[in-house]
Amino acid sequence: MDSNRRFLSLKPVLGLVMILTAVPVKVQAAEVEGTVQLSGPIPAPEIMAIESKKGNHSTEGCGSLKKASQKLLVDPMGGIRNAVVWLDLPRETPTSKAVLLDQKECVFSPHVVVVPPGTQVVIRNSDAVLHNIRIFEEGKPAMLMHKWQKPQGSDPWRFDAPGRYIVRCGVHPWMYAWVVVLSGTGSVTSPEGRFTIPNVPPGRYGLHVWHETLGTRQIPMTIGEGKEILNPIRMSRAKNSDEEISR
Amino acid sequence: MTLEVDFGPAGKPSVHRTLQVEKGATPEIVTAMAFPVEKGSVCCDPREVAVIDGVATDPAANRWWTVSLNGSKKVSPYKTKLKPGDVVRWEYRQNGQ
Repeated sequence: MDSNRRFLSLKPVLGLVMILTAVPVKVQAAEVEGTVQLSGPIPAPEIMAIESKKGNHSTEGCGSLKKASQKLLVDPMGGIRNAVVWLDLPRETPTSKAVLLDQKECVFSPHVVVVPPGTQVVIRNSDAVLHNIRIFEEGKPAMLMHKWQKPQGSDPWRFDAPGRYIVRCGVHPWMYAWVVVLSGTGSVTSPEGRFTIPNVPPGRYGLHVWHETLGTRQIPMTIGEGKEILNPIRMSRAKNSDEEISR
Repeated sequence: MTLEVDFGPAGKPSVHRTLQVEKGATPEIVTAMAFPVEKGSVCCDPREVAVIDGVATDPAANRWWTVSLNGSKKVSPYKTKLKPGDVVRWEYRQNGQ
């Protein structure tokens, strides 16, 4: 009888404990923001003077033949465009949506595409000239794909393995783009060098930066909850050191 | 026949050699007599020359091997049959980008 009474007196407390343990603690994922900036003098945009050979019509429809080189684009504040920034945090739901890589006035647009493994990239010719698509994996001379592409044509290519791939045009040697296949979570920097990585659970990560001319950096960092605004990540033409980044 | 190799931006000294070759030899065969050569599909066919003496085509840097026969680019490295007196010239070139 005594034990029954004791149980009845504890019942509301036990109920409260059960409710509290049944409700999961919601951890707020962070949105990581930052910029990638160049250390040292800001280079002037490099303009390529493309020759149009007499009798060769391959540049007709390419627009101006004075085109900006895409190798290193830096804004007046030092922001580096087209750097790839990612965390070694596996993507939860890889997208199956196709991504467009267009050719307009004999320039690939965008210049850098970041996709998860298994993504189909549709390469389109929006020009009035013939293009010649060639895909290579970085560091390997052998070609993965080769296709002539008539005006308004489009061809898909599925990128399954993580890595960096170069898409070139065999007719117009200045034309190229990068497809960066990441198993981690990342993005490409804007013309001002800014990037945002959403939905990052709190934790300790390696943050990686890659730029086609400046190379790579790896920085250990800790992400908390809410919005995380990082100090600028510096890249230089000299060796980029790995260091802890503060917030 | 004469084999010339200009390593260009790879920084190696150019090579100029006179070779005795058998009838039916191609530029690829002749080049492989003088240097380690690796083949691969650089443009259009897996029989193309991708690496000469350790210098590989580099699609990211826009560096490529080009071949000419007696000054003409109309030559196939694996099909064209060479004749006595021919000059095969390989150039490692970097295009702007």
